[in-house]
Amino acid sequence: MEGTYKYRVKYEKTGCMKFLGHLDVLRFFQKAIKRSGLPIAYSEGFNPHQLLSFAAPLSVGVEGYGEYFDMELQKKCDETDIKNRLDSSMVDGVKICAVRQLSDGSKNCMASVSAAEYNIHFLENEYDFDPALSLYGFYNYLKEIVITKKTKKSERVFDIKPLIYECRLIDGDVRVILSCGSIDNIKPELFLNAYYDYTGIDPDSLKYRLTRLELFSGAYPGLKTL
Amino acid sequence: MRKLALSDDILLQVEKPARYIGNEVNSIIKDPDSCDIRYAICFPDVYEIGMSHLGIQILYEQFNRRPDVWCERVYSPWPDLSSIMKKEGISLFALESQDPLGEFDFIGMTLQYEMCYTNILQIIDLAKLPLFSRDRKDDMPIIMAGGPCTYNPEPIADFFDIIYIGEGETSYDSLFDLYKTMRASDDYSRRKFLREASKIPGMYVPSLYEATYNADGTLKDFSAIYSDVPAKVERQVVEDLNETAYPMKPVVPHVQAIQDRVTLEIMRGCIRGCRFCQAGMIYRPKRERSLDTLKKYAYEMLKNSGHEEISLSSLSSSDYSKLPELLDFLIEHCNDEKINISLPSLRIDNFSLDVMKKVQDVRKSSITFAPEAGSQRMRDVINKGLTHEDIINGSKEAFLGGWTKIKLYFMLGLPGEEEEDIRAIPELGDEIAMLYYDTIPKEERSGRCQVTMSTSFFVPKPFTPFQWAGMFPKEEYLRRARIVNDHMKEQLNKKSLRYQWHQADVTVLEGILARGDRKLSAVIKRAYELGCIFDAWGEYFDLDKWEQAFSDCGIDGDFYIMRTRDKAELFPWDFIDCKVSKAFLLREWERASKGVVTPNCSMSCSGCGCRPLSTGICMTH
Repeated sequence: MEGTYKYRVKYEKTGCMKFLGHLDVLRFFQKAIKRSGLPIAYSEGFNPHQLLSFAAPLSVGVEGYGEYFDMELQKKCDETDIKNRLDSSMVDGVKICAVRQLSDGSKNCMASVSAAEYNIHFLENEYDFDPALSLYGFYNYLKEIVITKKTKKSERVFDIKPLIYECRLIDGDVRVILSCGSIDNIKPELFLNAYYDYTGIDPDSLKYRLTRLELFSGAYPGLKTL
Repeated sequence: MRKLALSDDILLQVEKPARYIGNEVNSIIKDPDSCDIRYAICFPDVYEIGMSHLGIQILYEQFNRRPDVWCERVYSPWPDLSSIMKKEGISLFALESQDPLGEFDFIGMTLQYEMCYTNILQIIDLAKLPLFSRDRKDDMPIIMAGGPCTYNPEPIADFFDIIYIGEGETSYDSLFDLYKTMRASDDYSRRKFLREASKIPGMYVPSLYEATYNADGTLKDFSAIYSDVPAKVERQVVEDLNETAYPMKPVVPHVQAIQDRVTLEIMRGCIRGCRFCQAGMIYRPKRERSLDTLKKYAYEMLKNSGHEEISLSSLSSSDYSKLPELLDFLIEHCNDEKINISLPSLRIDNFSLDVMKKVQDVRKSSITFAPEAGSQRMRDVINKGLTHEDIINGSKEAFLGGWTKIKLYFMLGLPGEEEEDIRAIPELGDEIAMLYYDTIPKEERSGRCQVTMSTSFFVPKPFTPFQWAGMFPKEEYLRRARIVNDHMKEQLNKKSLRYQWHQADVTVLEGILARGDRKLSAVIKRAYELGCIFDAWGEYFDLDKWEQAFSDCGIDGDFYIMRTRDKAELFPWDFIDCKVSKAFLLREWERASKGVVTPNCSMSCSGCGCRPLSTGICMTH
């Protein structure tokens, strides 16, 4: 909107707060911003709403360490002051990491996000092999990772491997950077389901915990954190 | 990091896991070792419903003001989680500490509607406690109830150790002090404590009373077992609402509550005296909060919660004496802050239409009237102080003000209702629609007006003038709804009329539970065993199971509702001194049968019995 000041907020959503769905997170921040007393800008009309834009929604149950939203303020405010005021309106499990002002005309974070980094940690299981190593091998061994995407009308078969920008082994976990956003949104579950399908492993016998570490903009390999 | 009672695995299997994690803004965490009393306050329905309830928030604030008490919240686990907990033997827990309910000193439930009765048992059962009070041991929590349903506590009497009759603000300190003292002594026992607690005003201990019955099934006698236990339990009433606790820092729910907003209770009680309305009787007399108090509350609550909507709460907001001043303040404050104002229960007149124009989008919103009955004769029977002229004038002003949608609420199955009274409902709707076309010139209209009528089926409640009234079989209610529907289609402006009605399945059961006696505890328990929970939710209500429960227990539900009760009958709830006297209610019942209206409390005192309380509207005469 004209005459407003845009800020990008980076936050963490961990612990029990990972159980909040996207809409609940949105409402949580709307109320937190209101409590913080920041001069948030509103849309016009009879039912004005806060000018907020959230980057890619995070699935229920997944912790996020690099989550983002943009907000528009009516006045220019000091970034540190914004961070402190927001942070004092949080609860256990949500932490404001950074706030920076965006230049005029910059794309909002929902439109900017192009990739997301996830950590995949396998939980205790009965298998005598290392599932992380196995998943990593699966990724490297196959030239194509073909999945079937069902929509209401049709079934589409396509190769997600080009959309998995990176896959590494770190501290016994698998770390992936996946295409994310409105065009090619690859959820980590898609990758894992392809692995279960290919190996024939029963997903209930090998559970994992996902964490989203960071969101990026730009095109791979030139990704930049949001 | 917070410890949760449920594993990630379980939380990810259930709908809306955020219902169960606690950790909300303004929820209160204390050190359990520093508290003598741990109280779990419970609304026996799902989180989003329970979190919308003001009473719990008030008590939560009030209890937690005491450094020796830690009060936490509990809501009913949704059936998906409930069955997992049952299967895996997980105990129900309080949201704040996530500790099992069995470790608490008290569990207190608010009972707002009869259809939550099986949920009471779900809570107690999941807490791994015996369902009946008599089976509980000394080291188990004291289980209490309060709220409007407890004005006839008898159907649920066997489940509770103490039932509190009245407004929560008054007697809990005495109860907590007593508990602390007795608990600290070497020979604490539950029995001794309950005996002493029964002497605190408003505290009803069902196990200390005995009922005997006549051969026809009606109550013969109801009395205390011991001479030191009060024969009558007196409703407790707050004298000055400016002095009581109020949740200036409301807990902000994580999952969107049904009422996701600040609730400002502007007054308690109602002057109107509608004869069907229990709230209009049991919260008498009308007492207001001062303008200054309310301004402060509104400001603080909005600031501390971050809510973007505020709603006035009362039984009839137009009767608040400083309403214009309060609304001026709210409109000014809320406009700057982009906060919505919601104004339920306003009488429709020029003043309220003016206010509504300021706070809502006229094009999108509708104007609501609650005539409750279609004919003026019936409105006089129920003492609804709303005339045909009021409705017509209000509608006309609304149309002139730009509104095109009118909603009308009615009840069907009222005592003395004749076919012509039923037919009067669509006729009134038609008259209003006609008024639109007569009032608004063709070139200024944007399409048709829309008059929506909706009916609910009337259920007689204790402590109302209609407590003597009989009900009807389910089919009869539906027949009456069909008369409205068919007759609507015969109206000239039928294309501008809409009609909505409810199913009658729960009506009859609600009626039985509302005016039942102690024998019903067995039926409720049986229904729970057969799998009934969340009866207030259409998708879970199972009438067949309830019918089986009645037959398994050998109890005829019709006995409680299908007869007009004799004026001399002793009611199961008559041992409660509600302050509104039975003589007054009987007078009103007789006046109703003659269609005679009774003036409201601001016009003159009708001697309901509340005057000795010496507060509120009673002091103005």
